[in-house]
Amino acid sequence: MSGPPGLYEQEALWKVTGEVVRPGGLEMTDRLVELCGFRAGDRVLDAGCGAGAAVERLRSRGLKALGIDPSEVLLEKARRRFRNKDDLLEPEASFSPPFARAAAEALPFPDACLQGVLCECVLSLTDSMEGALKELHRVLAPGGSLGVTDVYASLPRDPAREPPWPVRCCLQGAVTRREVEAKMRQAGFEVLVWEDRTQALKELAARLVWAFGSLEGFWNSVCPEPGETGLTRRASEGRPGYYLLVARKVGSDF
Amino acid sequence: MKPAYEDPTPPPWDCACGKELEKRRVVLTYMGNEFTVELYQCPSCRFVYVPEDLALGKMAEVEKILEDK
Repeated sequence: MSGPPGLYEQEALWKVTGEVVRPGGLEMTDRLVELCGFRAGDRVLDAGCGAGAAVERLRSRGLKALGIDPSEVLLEKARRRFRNKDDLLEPEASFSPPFARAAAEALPFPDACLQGVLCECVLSLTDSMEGALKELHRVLAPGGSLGVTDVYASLPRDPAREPPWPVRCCLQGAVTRREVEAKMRQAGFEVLVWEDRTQALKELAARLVWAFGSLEGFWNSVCPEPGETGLTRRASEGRPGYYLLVARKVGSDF
Repeated sequence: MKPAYEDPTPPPWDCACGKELEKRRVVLTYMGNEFTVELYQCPSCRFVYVPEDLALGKMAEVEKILEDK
């Protein structure tokens, strides 16, 4: 993964979100687990695990959860989270350690080795959503479940034709529901559930205003170059919403 | 949980009941969303002092976001 620094690595944002740097927090993770129907002992990957809060949640439910993330800053936080928590580790030899540095487009796992994958607020951040979905499909066992939360655009837009953002954030890669579902089908998934969770995105935006005075104030705090203007307007282009989706791997091909 | 907003402007006066306002954690609710903030409140009447700059600034922007305007 290349380009500007990630918004999710900014301490200014963590002060508002805590270490679950996405709308809806772990409540959304719990909903995905419920809808995916994971059972104790299932191997579940959190693709884009950040500081590992969801991996900890999954392990506390008896799942053999592990995480990947491209950010070494966040992975170090994730590893620290698991220090002195041997009861949450108990990894199988082939699944140890629980965290690895990798992007969703290039997973360090063999084909069809997982019963589930969670991918929260990540797909719109990847360099290639199609590439990431292809990889998630490859590592899932036939019939395996994919649980996704992410930003989507209510109005059509073409992220590739827009000027680059000074920070890497999920708003820049958001596409419409129709496009998300088409990419899912193309990658070999059957979409079973779509829930609109835009309220969670609004609630996070509101909390940012409380903390930074305004959305413009927030963007100025997290941009590497001072004086960035117009990001609030850009962020609202496409009228962003938030969704929760559950899909199943169909077919046995990788 | 840390309040969403701290360090409010001290009120220029006491409550109408004569009590001095105290800085307290209060919960603001708007369109189903709750925000815990620190504001000055009367310990007796429970009235909350919302400074004008807060009402016209952050609170107005938060309302705009939640109302999808």
